[in-house]
Parts: sequence; structure tokens; C-alpha cells
Amino acid sequence: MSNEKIKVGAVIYDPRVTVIWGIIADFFKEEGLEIECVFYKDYEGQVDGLMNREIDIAWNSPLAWLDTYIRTDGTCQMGSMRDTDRDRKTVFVVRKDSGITNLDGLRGKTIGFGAVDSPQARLIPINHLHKNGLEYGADYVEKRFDIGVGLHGDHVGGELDAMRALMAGEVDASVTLDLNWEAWKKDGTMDENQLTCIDTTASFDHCIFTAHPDFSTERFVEWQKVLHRMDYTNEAHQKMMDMEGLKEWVEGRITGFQQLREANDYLKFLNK
Amino acid sequence: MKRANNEATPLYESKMFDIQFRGTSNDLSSVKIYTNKNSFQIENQISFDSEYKPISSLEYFAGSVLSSILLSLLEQSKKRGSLIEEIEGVLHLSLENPLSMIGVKGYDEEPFIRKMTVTVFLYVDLEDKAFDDFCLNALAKSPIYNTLKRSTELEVLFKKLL
Repeated sequence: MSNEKIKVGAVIYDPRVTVIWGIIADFFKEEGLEIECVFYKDYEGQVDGLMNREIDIAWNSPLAWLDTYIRTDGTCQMGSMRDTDRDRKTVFVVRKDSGITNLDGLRGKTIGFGAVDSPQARLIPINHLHKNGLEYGADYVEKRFDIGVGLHGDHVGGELDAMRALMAGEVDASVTLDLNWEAWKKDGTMDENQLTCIDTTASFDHCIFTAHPDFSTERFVEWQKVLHRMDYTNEAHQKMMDMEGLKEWVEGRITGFQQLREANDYLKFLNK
Repeated sequence: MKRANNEATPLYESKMFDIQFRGTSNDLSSVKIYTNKNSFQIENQISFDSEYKPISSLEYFAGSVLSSILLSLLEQSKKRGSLIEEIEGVLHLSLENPLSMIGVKGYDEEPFIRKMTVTVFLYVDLEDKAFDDFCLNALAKSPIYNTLKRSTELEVLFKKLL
């Protein structure tokens, strides 16, 4: 097996996130399988980097996975994900005093979404509305909060602004990831007495490591075995895992991207 | 007595005080800085890890700015019979384009210090106008402040503790 460093790509919008990758790189070095981290400004650049073989493996958003899947005719290799990447949902939230109790009540209303390329805060919920009889561009008004375009919704700002707009009465409903909704209710960012969830999407998956089709499958498997040895009870690993929001790395799967694929077909997002 | 007219040939030592530092790197990773009697090691220009312990270049720089301003005030205070009873300062620094420093592809803009704000809290028994005069006169004795104010956005605020 080659001893060359495995090049792993990640999208970075905050320099503090490099600490996470420093810990991961140190761990892989200790395990005798050195990696080189390559950082990108946005996912489009990272997928370009994977296609150009600047990197062997990409830490991809779901949309970046789909982009890679399409560009490689489905031959890219799927890798691990965080435990928290599995079975996520998007929630539809309204003000309690709005009188809106279900999705049909959003007909003709204004809905607050996150960034244009956010799977959880725009693409998947738009597809969910479509499946429930509300067509994009016809049955409701889209009010978008484009924070961090290119980051595929990694930055929470767009979702937070959409929820604040809901609180301020600027929109009739807003969408956000279930984890954010729960966290904001808990820390008081959102007032549970004023807001209520009227619907959720079906479960979907989030980020996933993706390897180039030509990258050695044997090395990719070995790399993932090492990754899965990261241990939450190890102090250094815990710091990294807390920052990245996971307790353990789990096997990847692509079944959880079905809704995003449907959304992409519906909106022709990556075809634009 | 007739004084010599030396206006045409001012003494260099009277106009300039020169300091020279030496920096070396044995491991080709960190840098050791030698002053006249001491030395200190710097491993990073900046660290984005809140738990990183060694002092970085940027921290030395910010500490230098803040200490120069506080020391100027304390020195002027002593000359006026120890006016200052308590003093504390807070420096806020904004580094623009930090992602260029760590080589994130897609970011090419030069990293630089966009702005620094220093807020100095003083417990001193002076009326408002006298307080302002004292602080501004003391600030004018800080060579680091006087240098940086010419080249970057550096705001210094003085707040009197009651």
C-alpha cells in the first residue's frame, strides 16, 4: 500500500475550525496513516478539487456529495459520517397566534428559508412542500436569507435570520434543522411560547466523506478504520468531536440523500 | 557665554535611539528572538485554538500596544504625584482575512489588522476636562501609539471609574 499522505479536503469559513482538522491530522499521524488537510472556501471549489485530484477524500455537505455523485456518474466512493448526520429533519415553524396549523395553511403566505444552497433550510423543505401540494414559485412566496452562500447551509446565520424574521412578523413561517430548533428552544434564542412546529420533513442524512472513484478503495477502507478509532473518552478527541458535533463516526450511506436528489430534480438546482 | 550653534549638525543620538533584534530558527519551525539580555521563543504568528498556550506574534504585538499605552499613563501619573489609583485596559483587535493565513483555497487577500480599539479604565481624582487632558498628554508619550495611529485604525477610549 502507498505511503503517500492521503489528502483530505474540508470547507473552512472560520479559522477556529482548523483546530478540528489539526486534531484529526495528529491522530492519523499517531496511527501511522498520515493525512494532509487541504482547505477550501466553498463546496464547489472542493468538488472541483476532488475531481482534479488535488484531494483524495472530501468532507462533503449532502449537496456537495450529490454534485460529486453527478459529476462522477455515480462512481464516487461513499465514506463515513457523524452519528449526528443521520436521520435529521427540517421543521416548519409558525407563530402560535398565526392560526396556521398545517402546511396547507401556508398557501399564499411568505416562508423564510436559509441560504439558496442549503439542503436543510431550502432545498429539502421546498421539495417537501411540493410533495404536499405547494408548488415553488406559485403557491407561496420565498423569502431567502442568503448567509454564507457556497457553504451549503453550514453557517447557521441564514436559518437564524429566517427564524428572527418569523419572530418579528416579517414572514409567516420559517424552516430550520431539527437540531437548531431544539438548541434554540433550550438556550432561549427562540420562545417556545410564541412559536410552534406545524410539520417536519421525512428523515434525511447530512455530511459524508466522499472519495474520488480512482482513489484506492483499500486505502479508503483503511483510512476509515482509523477514523472510527477516534474515541469520545479521549480528551483531545472529545474536544474535536464536540466542536464538530458528534460522539462517534459511523458508516456512511446514501439512502438518506434521496429527498435532496428529488429536490435537485424538482428545482434543477445543480443543472443551472 | 556664547553657545555653539550646532543646528546644522544635530547629534544623531539625540534624535534617534536604535534597537536591534536578532531572530533565529534552529528547527526551521519556531523563531527565537534575542533582546540585549533575554530571549523568547515564538512558534506561531497567531493561533486560532483558544487552548493554545505559547504566546504568538500577534499576542506579543497586541500586548506591546496595550502595555505601552498603560505604561505611558502610569509614567505621567508618577510625575504628577501618583494621580492614578487604579488602571485597567482592554484591547480589541480585528484581523482581516485570517483564512488567507492558513491557505484556504479561494482566499487570496492579504491578512492585516483592520482595527484596534483600546479602552482604558482609570480610577483617578480629576475633573472631566483635567482627566481628558491628562490622558491625552500621557497618550502622546507612547511611541507605539504614535506610530500606529499613522498607519492603522487605532482608537483609544478613556473611561473614568467613579
